Amino acid sequence: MTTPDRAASREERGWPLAVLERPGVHEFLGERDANRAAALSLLLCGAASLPGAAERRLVWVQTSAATRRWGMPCGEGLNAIGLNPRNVLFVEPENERELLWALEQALDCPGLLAVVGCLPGAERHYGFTASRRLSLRALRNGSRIFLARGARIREATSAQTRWRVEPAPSAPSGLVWRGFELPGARSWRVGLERAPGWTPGAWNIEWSEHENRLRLAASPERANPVRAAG
Amino acid sequence: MLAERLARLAHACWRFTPRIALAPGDSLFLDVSGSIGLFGGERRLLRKVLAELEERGEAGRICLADTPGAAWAGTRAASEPVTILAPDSGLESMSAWPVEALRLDAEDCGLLRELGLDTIGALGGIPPESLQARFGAGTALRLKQAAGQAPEPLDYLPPPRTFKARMEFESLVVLRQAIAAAVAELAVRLCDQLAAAGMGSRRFELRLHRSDGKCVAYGLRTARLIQPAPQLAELLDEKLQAGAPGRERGVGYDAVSLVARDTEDVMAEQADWLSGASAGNLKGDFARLVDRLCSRLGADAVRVPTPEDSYLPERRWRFVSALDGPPPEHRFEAPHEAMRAPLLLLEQAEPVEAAAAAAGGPPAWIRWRRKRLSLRRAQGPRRVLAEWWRGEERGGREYWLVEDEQGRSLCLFRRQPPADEASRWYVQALAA
Repeated sequence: MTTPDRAASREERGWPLAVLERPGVHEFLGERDANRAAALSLLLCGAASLPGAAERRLVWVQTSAATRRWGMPCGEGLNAIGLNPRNVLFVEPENERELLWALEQALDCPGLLAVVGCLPGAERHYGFTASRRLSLRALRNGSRIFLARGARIREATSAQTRWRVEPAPSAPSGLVWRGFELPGARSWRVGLERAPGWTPGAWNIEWSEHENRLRLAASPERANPVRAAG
Repeated sequence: MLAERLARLAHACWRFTPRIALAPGDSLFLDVSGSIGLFGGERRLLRKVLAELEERGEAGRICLADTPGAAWAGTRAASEPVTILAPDSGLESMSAWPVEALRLDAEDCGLLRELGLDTIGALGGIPPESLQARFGAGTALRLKQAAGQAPEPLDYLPPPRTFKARMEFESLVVLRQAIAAAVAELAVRLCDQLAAAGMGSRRFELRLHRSDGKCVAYGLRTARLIQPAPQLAELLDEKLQAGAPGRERGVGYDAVSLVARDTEDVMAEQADWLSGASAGNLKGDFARLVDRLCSRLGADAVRVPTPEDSYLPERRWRFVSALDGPPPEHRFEAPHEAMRAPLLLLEQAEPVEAAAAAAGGPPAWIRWRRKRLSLRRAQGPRRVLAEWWRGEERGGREYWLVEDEQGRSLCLFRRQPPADEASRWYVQALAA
């Protein structure tokens, strides 16, 4: 349900991802390689938009299979969005069960900017029970966890928010070089499927390099949010 | 006072080598011939030694050489605070250094200077027989020792005290719970011993002695030097769970022992990066998290990015175990590079099939992981020189940031100069 009040504050903040500041489990769904990469880059940019992003530590957990598939954090890139690579702890468990254990441990550590988890392509253990355990810990400790996962959902989870993420073509820059237009800012198409107190919707979001934060992309869809697919 | 400080530093260096000797002047000799490999190479080892000193508030100079004499000379005369002399270079690399660097008394030095023999090189030019006859056996011996032509036995310091706790069972123990209880008790005893001596340790070994005479050992590394006994017991218990001992039929244990390895002085409360956290109350909690993760997943699975001297994106950052201490502060180049850096880097660049590229430009499409991506946007090229000194590919690489029609962005490269227009393209990074 949406009160006019909340709608106004959302407009003021300028972007719906303000909900990421809340403690709890935030899921970013991205099927296939490109969407998973988009989900990961969005959640990193989301983390970089949080208060204290430059000073606080971030624990990044993914299985070694995920590393081979989607890569590992790149220091230069993190620095460019305002996250200090020095503050990143990169944890690589062998399998999903250990991954969930490591995420729980990290959630118990106070003062972290966020815990980032990248679930394997085929989830076997992450489901209602596992998400409940994570979200209870997160809420108890006031910490937040950003989970990148596939879009095929096996069972309901008790995540606080769920986003469906796809890459979106960046805004036209109008600059052409050797027959190719130069890429613009990083852009995503996000659908909010679940967030208590927020209206589901879909937005085009981009990373503003000048302001070092996420913002709604300058596109017609901003004025007219449409329902999320699926 | 000085002697005490040196002894304390010697103790701190114990983790680098057990062969440490006091040297004339405020110096220490460390025989690291056996430990260079363990610390990731010569330069890395030297830096770690210096970092260890710095952590204790001492500044120092360090030199690695074939002989104690040459190393001592290097710390006095070399221009850099960290010096490595080429192996088997004899007096050559020292020839420009003053004779004082040879550990001679002031009187001998004065005599040599008067005769215009200012440098080691000048001294080395004199035939050995006449050198001894003219300047005495002492001078000749020091010169020979520095060159490695005469032995120099060192008086190594005695090894530090070992800290160990052991418990014998009256009857065979089979149950894991009983072992866990014993481990908890040993942790208390060992921590008491360490605390009484003002020592801490980052490396422990738990040994379960089986009734058939075999011994099962579990190594544990921790991020913190000092830990309360209950937490040590908890970490050891994790280890035991992961290793799942004692499920063999008919096998029991008759003793358990716990040893602290690499004990260190805890005099100066650790300037540990793990506890010197940036955000207020983080202090011990983050270190505790690292310990827990390491003990269950292994130290290699818990890493921090460390900047490296390389221009290749995949080598720019190396991930080192979080237990290996603080990653150095990295100075980022000002963002004059027009191309933005990717967020996710593939460990292994993946070759892709690509359309023939127009002269000097990127391909119009690539086929990557069985998907065809039509590229619409591109930025580049950013040229990176080949690291020929690593004996690898020649030429360089040309990087492009590309975006396909759906907005998927990737970082591509190809080798330079392209052998032909169809030369191979690789995907290096996602989320570019």
